[in-house]
Amino acid sequence: MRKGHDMKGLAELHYEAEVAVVGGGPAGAIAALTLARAGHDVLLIDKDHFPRDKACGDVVWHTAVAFLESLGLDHVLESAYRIDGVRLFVDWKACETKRWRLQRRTSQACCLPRRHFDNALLIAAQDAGVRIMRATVTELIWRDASVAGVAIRMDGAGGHVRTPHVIAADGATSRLRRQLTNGKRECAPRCVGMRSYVRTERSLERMFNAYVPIPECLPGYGWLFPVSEHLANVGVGYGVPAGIGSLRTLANYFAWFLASLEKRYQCDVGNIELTDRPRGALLGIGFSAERCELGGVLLAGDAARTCDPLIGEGIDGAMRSGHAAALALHRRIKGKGRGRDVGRAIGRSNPRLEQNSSMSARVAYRLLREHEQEGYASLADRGKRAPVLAGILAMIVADVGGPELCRTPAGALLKPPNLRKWLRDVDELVRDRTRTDFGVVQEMLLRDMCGGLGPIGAVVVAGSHVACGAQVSEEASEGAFAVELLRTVPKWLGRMVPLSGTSAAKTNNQLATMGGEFGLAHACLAASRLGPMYCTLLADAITASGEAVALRARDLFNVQSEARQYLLRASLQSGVALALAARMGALLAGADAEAVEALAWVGENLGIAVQACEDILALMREDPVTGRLPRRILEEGEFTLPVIYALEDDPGLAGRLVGAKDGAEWDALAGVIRQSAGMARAVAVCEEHAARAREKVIQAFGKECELAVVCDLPMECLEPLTAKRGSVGAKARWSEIGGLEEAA
Amino acid sequence: MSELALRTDALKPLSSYALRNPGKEMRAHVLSSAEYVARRGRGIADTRVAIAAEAIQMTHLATLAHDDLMDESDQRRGLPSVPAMFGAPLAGAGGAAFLGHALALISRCGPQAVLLASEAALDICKGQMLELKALYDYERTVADYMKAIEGKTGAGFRLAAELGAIFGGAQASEREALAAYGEAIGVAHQIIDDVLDLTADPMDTGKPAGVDLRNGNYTLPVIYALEERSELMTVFRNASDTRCAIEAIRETCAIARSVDLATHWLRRARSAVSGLPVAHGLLAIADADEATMEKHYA
Repeated sequence: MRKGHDMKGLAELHYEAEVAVVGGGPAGAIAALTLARAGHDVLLIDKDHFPRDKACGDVVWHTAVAFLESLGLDHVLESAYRIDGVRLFVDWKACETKRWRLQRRTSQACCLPRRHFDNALLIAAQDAGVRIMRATVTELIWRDASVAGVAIRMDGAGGHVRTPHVIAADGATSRLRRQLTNGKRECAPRCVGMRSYVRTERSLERMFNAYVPIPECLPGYGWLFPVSEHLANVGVGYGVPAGIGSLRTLANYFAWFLASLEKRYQCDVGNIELTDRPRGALLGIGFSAERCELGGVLLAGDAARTCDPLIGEGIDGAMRSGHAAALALHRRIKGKGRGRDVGRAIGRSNPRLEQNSSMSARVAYRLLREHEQEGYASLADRGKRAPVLAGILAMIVADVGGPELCRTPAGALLKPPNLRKWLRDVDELVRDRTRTDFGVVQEMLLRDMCGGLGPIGAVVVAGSHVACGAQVSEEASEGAFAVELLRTVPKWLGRMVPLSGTSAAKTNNQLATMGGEFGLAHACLAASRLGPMYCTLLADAITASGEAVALRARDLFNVQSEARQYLLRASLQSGVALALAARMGALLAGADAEAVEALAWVGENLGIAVQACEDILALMREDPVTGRLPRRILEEGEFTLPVIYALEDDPGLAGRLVGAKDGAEWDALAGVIRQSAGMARAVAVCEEHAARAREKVIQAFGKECELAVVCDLPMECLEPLTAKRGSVGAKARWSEIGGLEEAA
Repeated sequence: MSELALRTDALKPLSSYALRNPGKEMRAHVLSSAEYVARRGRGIADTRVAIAAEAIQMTHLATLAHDDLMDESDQRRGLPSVPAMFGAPLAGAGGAAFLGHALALISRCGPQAVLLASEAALDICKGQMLELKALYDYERTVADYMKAIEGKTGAGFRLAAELGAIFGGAQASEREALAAYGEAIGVAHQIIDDVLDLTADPMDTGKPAGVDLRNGNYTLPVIYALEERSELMTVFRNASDTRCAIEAIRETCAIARSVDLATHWLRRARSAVSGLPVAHGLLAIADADEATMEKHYA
């Protein structure tokens, strides 16, 4: 759409577009494609000839694959190298291996050099109708304090593109971002990376290999990601502490890493040969939801700092942010609101992107460092185990994207639109209020809430509220928030290990205490917003949780613990919490004393069933949200109901449980318990309590009461694992209610 | 103080042990003195004062158990600390139970009190997080430190003073003044505590010297010392030689500057309540703090 040129010189180029997207990486390409598909006239400007190389780990994380699939762009990954799992090395020893179970996943992560990936995305954008221009954008052009276009340079000639809408996706060193912040230095954390390609003598396993910590214990890791059978992307990336920032230092670390890799993995990969010049780059970390739009210009990708600060993954965040920015702009152009929630929408896709979240990376790597200092092998020693640390490790390699309350077994129970929206509000409340500089605390908190059955406390609050004839309200979400935070407390405090003078144990306990106090303080604040009566109820539940934690600590590694003790603990921990949830829901609905007590009784029994169910599930399979492995429960000495029954049946197991030394032995023991008759007995106990709760619900509120569905949840979750009967079709009733409300 | 209402015997020994060693009860003094000021010394104390004072002390006990756990301190006021006595897992659980009991008590003091207390609890927690985040951070600034202690200690004292103001029926302006007093005295108190950690005789404080330093918690004197001589970093990095590090700090002006800052905050505390009648109780608390400081800083 060249408009001709003025008389002064042929050098002045003028273009026009409805939207200009600056930068042709994944963020820019997806933003342009999304807008073009929505019928806009889009001009994408990039300074490079494509295909071009780009310093990156080349990882297309499974969440990114899923995202591409959702846009119908899977063909982009046709030539990609599929990857089966992640392997984490601490001090050069493999300490955590995770093979993704493919039957459960629809999308498989892969590796594809950016040269091909970016090019394929750009072609897809072009096919969607995006015009692509090779030029350097030099600055924004303003008219009356709003953007009127961008100035460009093309083959030495100057010019401009006139456009009312600009999306800046011009990378971590974004020129536009700098202009929009008036060149002010932003106090953002910095992270750098350098990579090259190596050819290996022997064939590579289809695994992402991450090595922590890299030299000098910098917060970061080295990697070896295969891009084909004999070719790998090798690199290092780390957060930059003040003082060590030069490219030369980076090159030194890279050289060191490569040399160490060669030395240590001679037997695994054979000789390796560098095939490419190492390339360094700045990573866009330090996301802030408030800084995704500056002066009317939407930012996306590294320019919006959407790199995951914990693992350094950038493509997924870039594409999602490009998409979110494009959708917001589309709404704005169509006059459908101002699309203010761009930042929040991006933040939701990955909780680690929260403000200052590079802190989580620092903590995680400091932990890993200490982990290494203590020696990983000795972690099996009781005093040195560090459950918080294990949790963070599991979190790093966990199989999921951002956990959400709605996408859990309990969350799925709330089908009616109003209840679903209510739960989303609770989710939002949790995210907003627990946002801290300690990203790792928030992430573990969210994962704790979404692990197991999910936010059953919130669901019980809603259930008893609705059962008492009220509509869910903001007060109910306050109550749900309090209960859910309370439920995280024993999980944090249960991660405490005995004082042993080691720094891993100490850091572990510091984080565990911190997380517990944080949960308590938030729960208290939420309850105090509801009033003193609710505080009194919560106070009682808090004391009970404290006792549950104490009982658990006392029973650790106790091969003689009895089912009676377990049930007492379960009732103090989950029974009391769910009784509180039920009471809160009923009281907020203005129910009478009789109904409140009946519901509290239901909550108490349901709580015991839920606890038993979660403990059984934890032994049956790896938790999809927290990444906790069955053997960890045994390793940490927590003998839950199935273990107690298995020990009763076979006292010979005791010696093995106490004496097991390595991961394989623990795994085998978990297998033995899974197969034991003790497991079936535990399931029966769970069912008994759930059934009791359901009967009471039906007796007090009639057959149609939705809380009965909630009471079925523990058994329904165990059903696929135990191949036992369940109550099929019960879930449907929630949706009927929703339909009625909509009609009204 | 009253015993906790417990359902099992798992925490009974711990709770009675911790309750036997309640300490100076500074926060309770601030609360009752503030209430006295708010009612201008007339009439009798509100019944809620005693309950809230107990709640505040209970919260304090909880944070002490948790602090000792996080610092791995063996001693507290000359006796074995709770985690040293009962182990870390039980200390964590005990702290939670104390907080539960504190909430039960404070919820008897009305909606306003319980809301204030919960907010303060969160501030304390956030201050603690800031401190944890700054561990081993040689670049920690005075501003970072102040922000952390304003939450960690300032919020607790502020709460005590503000509750006193509410129970005594203070006007908005008086309440503000008392809250400012609480915060200032809390900050001063923490600075003094941090100075004493480096200067006082372990026999007096009941805990070994330089605990914070060894734990990588770089408090005000350490920050000042690093400002003055950045090469001290190497001395601090070697955590095993605390005595040598303390000597090095004492050779700088760091202690004197910290004492100055503490004095400044004490002055702020005094001036906040100087316009109020019968504030002698509150002023006496500031004087006592100053005296402690002078005793150990010669």
